[in-house]
Amino acid sequence: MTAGEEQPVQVRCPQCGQPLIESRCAACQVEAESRFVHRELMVLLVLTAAVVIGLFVTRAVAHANHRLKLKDAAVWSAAAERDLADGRSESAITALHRAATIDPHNRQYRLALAVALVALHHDSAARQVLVGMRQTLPEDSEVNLLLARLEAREGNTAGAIQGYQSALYGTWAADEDGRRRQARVEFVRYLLAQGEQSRALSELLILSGNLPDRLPFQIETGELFRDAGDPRRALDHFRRALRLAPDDRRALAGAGEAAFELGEYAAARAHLRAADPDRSTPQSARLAELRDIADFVLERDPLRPQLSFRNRWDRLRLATSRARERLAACFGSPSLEPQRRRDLESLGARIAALEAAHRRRSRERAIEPIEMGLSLVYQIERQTAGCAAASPLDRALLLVGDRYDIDRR
Amino acid sequence: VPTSLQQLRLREHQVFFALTVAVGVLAGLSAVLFTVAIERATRLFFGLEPSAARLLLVPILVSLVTGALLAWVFPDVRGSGVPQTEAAYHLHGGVIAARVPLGKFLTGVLCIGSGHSMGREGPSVQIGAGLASVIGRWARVSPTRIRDLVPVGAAGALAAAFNTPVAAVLFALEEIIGDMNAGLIGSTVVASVASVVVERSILGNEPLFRVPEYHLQHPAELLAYALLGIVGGTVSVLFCRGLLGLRRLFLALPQRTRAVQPALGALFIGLLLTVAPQVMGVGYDYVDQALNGGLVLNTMILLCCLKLIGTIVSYASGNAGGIFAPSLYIGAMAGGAIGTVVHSIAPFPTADPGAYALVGMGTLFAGIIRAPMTSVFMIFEITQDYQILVPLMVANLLSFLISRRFLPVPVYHALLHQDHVHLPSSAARSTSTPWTAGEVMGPVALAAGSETTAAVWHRMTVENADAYVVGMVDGPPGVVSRERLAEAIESSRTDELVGRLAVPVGVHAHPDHPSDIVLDRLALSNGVLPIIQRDNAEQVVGIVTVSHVVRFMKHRRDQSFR
Repeated sequence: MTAGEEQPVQVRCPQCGQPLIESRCAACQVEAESRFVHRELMVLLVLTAAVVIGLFVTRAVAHANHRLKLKDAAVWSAAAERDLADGRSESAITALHRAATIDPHNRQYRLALAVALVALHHDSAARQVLVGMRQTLPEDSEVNLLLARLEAREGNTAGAIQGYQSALYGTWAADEDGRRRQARVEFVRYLLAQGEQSRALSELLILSGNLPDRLPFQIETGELFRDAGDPRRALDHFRRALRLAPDDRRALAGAGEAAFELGEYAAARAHLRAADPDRSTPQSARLAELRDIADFVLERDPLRPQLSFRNRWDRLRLATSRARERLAACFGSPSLEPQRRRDLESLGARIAALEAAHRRRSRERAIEPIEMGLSLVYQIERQTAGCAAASPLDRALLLVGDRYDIDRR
Repeated sequence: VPTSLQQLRLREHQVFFALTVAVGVLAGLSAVLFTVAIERATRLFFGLEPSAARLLLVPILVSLVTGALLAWVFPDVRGSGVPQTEAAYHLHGGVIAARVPLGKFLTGVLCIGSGHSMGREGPSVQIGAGLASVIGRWARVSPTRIRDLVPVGAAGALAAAFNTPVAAVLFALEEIIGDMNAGLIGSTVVASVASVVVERSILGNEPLFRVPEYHLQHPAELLAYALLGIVGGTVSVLFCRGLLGLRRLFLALPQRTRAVQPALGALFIGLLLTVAPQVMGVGYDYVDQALNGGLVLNTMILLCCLKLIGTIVSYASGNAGGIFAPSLYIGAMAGGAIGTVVHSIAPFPTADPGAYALVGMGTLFAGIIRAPMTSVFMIFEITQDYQILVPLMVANLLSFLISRRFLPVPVYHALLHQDHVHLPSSAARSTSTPWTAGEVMGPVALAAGSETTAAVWHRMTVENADAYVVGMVDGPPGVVSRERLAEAIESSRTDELVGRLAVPVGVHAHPDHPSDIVLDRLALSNGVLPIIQRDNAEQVVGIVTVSHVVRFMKHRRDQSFR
């Protein structure tokens, strides 16, 4: 620049006084940019802080509320217990509903509700509660057991069996062995009621394998084996029970019955005599009858080993005499059909011939005539079974015949 | 320094994403707090086993307080909150005053906590949307982004309130935005997920209801679900008509009674609670019982009717609370009742009544709220069972069709109409239109109803106006056209008051209405189509006549030649 040339006018920023470049102030632009960025960052920071604080505050409030709700649920549950104790079942169910709604995670409330609903036969509601529980607690044995009972009550055998099996292989809250055993016993009883004998026997074998050596369990298992048609295992359990309590009448009766089923009439008689049934109930009357039959079997069996031939002939005579009485009773029946009358008359003729032969052959020491005589008595007892009620002696004679398979001899 | 600042500076969509997450979380937290506060309020007001006197008095006394708050402090938080949110999104650029979420929270807790038969989801939506709007404005994002944050906040709040993230997104798209293809789907999904994650971290991953296992037992069962859809649609129509009818009566009462109207409704609710406390508040406990077979047929029928009446009274009397939960409650009871009957008489195997109660919930939701996709996905999310979809769609579709046949305007929009707010329809929001009413309309020439025909005719010739909007002392404005005035002058009725010649504003259009709607409605009018504000239907902002349209088209043609 030479002297005398005019100095160009430098335009300055009205805000900061810095020179403008291309009509812009670089310093102010930087400052504006900086303010914007700082505000942007501040917004994000404040929002982050708000989110964090909000999260903690809300969490604290929600947890405090949850604790209060749990207290409310406990109050409702206690009210339900009082209602149940006072017999106000519907009111108890309402209270339990509230408890379970307030605290839906509490297994105890929901289970109590389900039990109360089942007890009041509110099956549909109980099922919904239990199905809901099973969705969250699929292995809960108590839930599955209650569901099995519901299915059983509604006649859904497959559902009930599935429920019982889920209960048996699930988990129990307390006393796992005991509760599982009880459930298995209940399952066996259900299977027996449904006529599923072989399935019941399978479960009984598992039950028997894990059974504590205690009187009630042995007796109960023995009775179940007996009902399932396995008198041999039943007798084993009753005998174990008798080792624990030799005078227990229930065990004696069970052992007697099982021994009778097995044809062990001497043992049956011994156990049944020890049980001393008094005929005061149908069950004890049945036991007394079994004892009488066992007596007759032992005392009137002409083929019993180690008897003298004289004794055998005497026993046969008594048997034929009873057979004749049965025939006479049948001939007196007004409803006897002609064909049947002719059959019975034929048997009558044969028994008369046999009695005549007895008198002639009573000194013989051969077993065949005695077998033949017993066979005829057996036929008459069977043929006359429909004419008159069978006495213990008649049943004993039939059992004796069955015992030696006398029909085939 | 400038370079590093440029690097630090976030782009707008990055800021918006961060805001979306924050809004989702905060909306979720607000919904959780709202739910907890209602529970505590109910417990506080009623205790564990309320006496009859308490059931009667609590709603009345609390409603006296809320009535005053709603009349004088928070006048814009009455009712559900969903219609107001829709209006804020469509008409006010997403601007919601900061007092709205606060007021809604407070009055919602008091109203629902004091036993009014109302839901918490609608208020949660308004609270979430309000928070979003406030945050957007505070963060100084662009007006478009502020508007976009409203459905984002609504979705976040609903997702947390109902624990159904997908249904919340669909609700925001279907109901708030009114467009299933909206570009905001990503943002609403982000907010919904953020909200649900937070909600579950606090309350646990628990579904709102314990639902029964669902199985379609027999194909013929679909007939039973169709029956449920028909009944659900009918009940929906009854509910909506009852609600709108009673609300119209309450709105017709003098303005000075506005503060005591909620207490009037509360008097009825108090009496109802003494008879059937099951209709109290949200009522999800009883929905749960209906779903799980805990209620007998008579109880379900009774509760269905009483809840319907109770909700109508609570809402129409101006309390703060929604109809979302009541619709589910009524649906569960109606469905459970039908399920019980079907279960006992159907000649084919059927599902338990609980399954029908579940479908019934969706059916009433579809019929009342008129958001069919949301209704299907909401129940699907609750059950998480694909098998329910077909019966649900059958029942919901029938209910939706019946409701649409007998109620052309959805209930949320009809409620806004009663407040003189008209939301744009999907056609009105269409952008592929040659012109809108706002572009074509001419200015409003005003006349008083007490002016004579001669005076107005004189002004018309001077001002060259096509029509006059005539202000009435005792009613809404009317319109008088040039032809009608000319007719009167020719028949020497010069002294007749112009108010007598004016035709009340009936057929009308809004400034954003597209050309096809404007022409269609112009054909229905008497030659003059008033254009009225959407957010104040009593304000005429312009008129459209055939000559206006012709002038506009000529003007546009000239401009294009130039």
